[in-house]
Amino acid sequence: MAKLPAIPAIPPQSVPLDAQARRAVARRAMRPPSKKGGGFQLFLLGVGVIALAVFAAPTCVLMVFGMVPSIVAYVVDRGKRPMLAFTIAPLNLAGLMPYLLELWTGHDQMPTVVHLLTNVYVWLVIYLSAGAGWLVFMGMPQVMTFVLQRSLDGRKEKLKALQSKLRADWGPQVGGGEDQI
Amino acid sequence: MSVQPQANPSMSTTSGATVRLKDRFDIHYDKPLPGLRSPAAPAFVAEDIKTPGTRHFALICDPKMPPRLEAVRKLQMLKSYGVLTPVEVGAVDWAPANRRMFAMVFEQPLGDRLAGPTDNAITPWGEEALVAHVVAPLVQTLLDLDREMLPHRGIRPGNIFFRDANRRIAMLGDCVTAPPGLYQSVVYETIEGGLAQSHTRGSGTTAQDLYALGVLVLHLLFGKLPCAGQTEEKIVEDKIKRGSFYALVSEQRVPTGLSELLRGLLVDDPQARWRLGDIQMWLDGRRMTLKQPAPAIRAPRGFEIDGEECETARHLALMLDMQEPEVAGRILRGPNFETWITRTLGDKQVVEAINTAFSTRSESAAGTSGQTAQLVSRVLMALDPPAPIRFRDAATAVDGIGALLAVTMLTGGDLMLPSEILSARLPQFWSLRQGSAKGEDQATIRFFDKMLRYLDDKRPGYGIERVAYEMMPGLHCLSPFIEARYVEQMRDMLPAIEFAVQAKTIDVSPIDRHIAAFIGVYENNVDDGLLYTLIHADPATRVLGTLQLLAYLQETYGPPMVPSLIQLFGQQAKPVIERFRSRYTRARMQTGLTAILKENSLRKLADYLDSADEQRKDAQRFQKARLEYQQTIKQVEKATQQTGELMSTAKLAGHSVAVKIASLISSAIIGVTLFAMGVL
Repeated sequence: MAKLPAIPAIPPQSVPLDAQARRAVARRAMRPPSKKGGGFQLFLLGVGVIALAVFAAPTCVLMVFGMVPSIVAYVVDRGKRPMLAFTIAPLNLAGLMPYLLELWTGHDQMPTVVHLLTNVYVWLVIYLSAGAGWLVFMGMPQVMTFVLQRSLDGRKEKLKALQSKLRADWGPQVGGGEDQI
Repeated sequence: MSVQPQANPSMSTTSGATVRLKDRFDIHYDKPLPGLRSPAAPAFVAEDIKTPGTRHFALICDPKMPPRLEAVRKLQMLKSYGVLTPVEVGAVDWAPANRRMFAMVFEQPLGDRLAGPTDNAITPWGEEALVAHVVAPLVQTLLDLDREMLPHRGIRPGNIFFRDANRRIAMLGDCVTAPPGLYQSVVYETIEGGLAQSHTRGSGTTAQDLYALGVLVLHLLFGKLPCAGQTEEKIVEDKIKRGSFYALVSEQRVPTGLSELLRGLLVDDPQARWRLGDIQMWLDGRRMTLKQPAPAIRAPRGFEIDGEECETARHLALMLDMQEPEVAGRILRGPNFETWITRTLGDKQVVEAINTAFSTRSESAAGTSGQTAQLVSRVLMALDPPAPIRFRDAATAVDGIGALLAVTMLTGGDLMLPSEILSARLPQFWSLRQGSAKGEDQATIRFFDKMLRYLDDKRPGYGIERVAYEMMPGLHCLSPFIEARYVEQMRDMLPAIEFAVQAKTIDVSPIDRHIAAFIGVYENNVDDGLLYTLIHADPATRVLGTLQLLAYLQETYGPPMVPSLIQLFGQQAKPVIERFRSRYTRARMQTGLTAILKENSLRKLADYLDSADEQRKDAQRFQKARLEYQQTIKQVEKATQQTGELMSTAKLAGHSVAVKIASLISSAIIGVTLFAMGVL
C-alpha cells in the first residue's frame, strides 16, 4: 500500500491566513453544482406524475394538491441544492400520509379526493406539517450558530489558557518578545 | 584589630604580643630593636621556635613603600654572609598598625652598625683599617651580589654592620625593605641617581654601588659626609660642573694610597668607572692605570639661563629642568638655543638627538602644555642621555618607573603623571638615546611598548593597575578592599577577599580592577575572557565570571572554607537563576541552592549555577514551548476566522441538519400513521 504523504502538523508560516481563506473559497467554487443533471430528474418526475395520473388519478390529484408547499419550496429555493424543499417535503408528505392511506384503504375514487380537498382540516393538517418543515428549516441555522459559537468560544478559551500557562512558565519571551539569551 | 585565625598555614597567627611568621618565627612587637632598624622599617625581636637560642630580628616594611622581593629571592639563593639576608619573609597580622604588614626576618649580626643611621659625623678611619675592615669585605660581598646581578643600592655608613663584635669585617645592611636607593643621600648617589627622585632611582647596576663605595671611603676617611651643609641641588650641580671626585673631595687632601681608588670609583662615566675586578687588583697591590673618561664637550661660549653660564649639554639640561616647562619650552623654541647647540656647542650627536626630539610627535591629554612638557623632557634626554627621565615634577630612572607608579598609587597621588610618561613613550625615547648594546635597548623598548598596550587597554585585568604590577614585582595588591591584608602572593588573595566580605568591606562585587590586574599578572591560567566578564552588561554573566574566577582561586590555593563569600554569592544568585526561562527550573534551582551553599565550595556553586547541561535543556524546552505558543496563536487566529464565517457555515450545516431532522420526524409520523391506521 502506498504511503500517504505526511501531513504537516503546522501549516507553513509563510502562507498568510487570508490566502488560505481565499484558497478555501476557491475550492468551494470548484465543487460541481449539486443540480447537475436536474433536467433529467425533472423529466423522470414528470414521467412519474403522468404514470401516476394514468394509473392512480385520485392519488395523483391528492398528491399534487397536497404537496403544493413542497413544490413551491422547490421552485423558490434558488440554492444549488433545494434544501428548503428537502426539509419541507418529508414533513409535507407525513402530513399528507393519513389522507393518502384513507384514500388507499377506502375507495380510491375521485369523490373521496374531492371530499378530502374540500375539508379545511385536511388542508390545515397538510399545511401545518409543511409549515413545521419550514420552521425546522428556518430554526436549525440559528441552533447551529449557537452550538458552533459555543464550540469556537470554548476552543479559543482553551488556547488562551494554554498561552497564559506558557507565558507564566516561560515568561513573555515565549510569545516572541525580546529574546534575552 | 580583631585578628582572624586563618586556615592557610602560610599565614601568620598572633598570640599575646607576638605574631607568628610561617610557623617558624615569633615576632615580638613589644620588643623593638632600635639599633637594627632600617629608616622606614622598625626592627623587633624575632624568635625562631624551631631553633631556640638563635638571634634573629624582624624588619616590618612600610606598606607605603614596595619591598624588593626579587632581591629577596636572589639574596636567599646567594646565602652571602656579607649582606643581611632575609631568612624568612611574609605578611603578618600586625596588631599595632591594625593591618597586615610585610615582615622580613634576618639573623642578627654579631657586630653593631658602622655609624648611626643619621650620623653624618663619625670618627675618621685610618687608611689601612678602612681598606682591610671595610673596603675589602664589602668588595667581596659586591662580587657575590654582582654574580646574581643584584646591585645593593644602600651602601652608606648607617647601613653597614660588622659581622664580628671586634668590628673587623664589615657587612652590608638591609637592601630589600624599600625601593633601591630610597634612603641614600644624594652625596652617595651618582649624578644620574641624584637627579632622580629618591624612590625612583631604580636598581641600576653595580657601578652605582661602587660609586657609593667611593663616597663611603671618603666619608669614613674624613669622618664627615662630603659636601655636608650643601643643598641636594647644589651637590648635584657641583658634581655636574666639577665632576664628582672634585666636588666631593673639595679642598681636602686625599691620602696618596687611596687617591687612585677614589679617582677610579668616583668617575662619573659608568663605563670608565672602576669595576670590581679593578678594585680586587688594587687590593692585591697592583697599581692601576686610571681610565681617562672622555671629557664632556664644552662650548667656547656658555648658554645663559638665569644668569648661569652653561658650557656643557648636561649642565644646560640641568638648568632647563629647573625651569617651568612653559619657560623651558620658550627657551627651546627660541633662536638662541638652536644657534648655540648647532654652532657653539657643535656636538653632532646632541644636535641629531635634539632634532629627533623636536620631530617626535607629542600628543597629550593636557593639550599644548602637555606637548611642551613632553618636548622639554625629550630635549633634556637629548642633552643628557644617561640622566633620568625628567617630566614635569617627576624625575625617574627608566627602571624606577615601576616604583614611581607604585608609590603614587600607595600614596594616593596623581596617576596622570606616570601614565603620561608611558603614553608619551618617554622610556622608549630614553632607551634609544643610550647607545648601549642594541639588544638591551630593543628589549627595553619592547617591554615599554607592551606596558603602553596594557595601559591603553581599559578592560579589567589591564590598565594602569596592570602596568603597576608588571613593572613592580612584589607590589602587594592595592585594591581598597584588601590593601590592608597585604596580599603579595596569590595564595593570600582568597582569604583576604573572604576577610573583606566578612568585614563588610565588600558587599557587591569582590573583584575590582586592582584584583583583576593582580590576577592577570600572577595567574597565567586565567583566561582574559573570564576577566572581561567582570564588566559584562548582563549582571548574571558578571556574577558567574566573578564566581568562576574565585572558584579557580579556591581550587588552586584554598582555603577550603569561604562561608562569607559563599553567602555573598548566594545573595547574588538571583539574576543567574533568573536566566533560566522555565519557572519550574528556576524554582528547582532556587530550592537546590540552599543545599549547595551549605557545601561551602565555590567550585560546586559555580558548577551548579553555570551548568551547561541545565542551560541547554532549558533552551531546548524553551524552543519547544515557543513553538507550541506559535501554534496556539495560529489556532486562535483560525478560530477567529471561523467565527467570521460562522453564519454561512451554520446556515449550511443547519439546513443540512434540518433536512435530516425533517426526514426523521416525517419517517416517525408516517410510521405512527401506518401503525395507527392498521396498515402495519
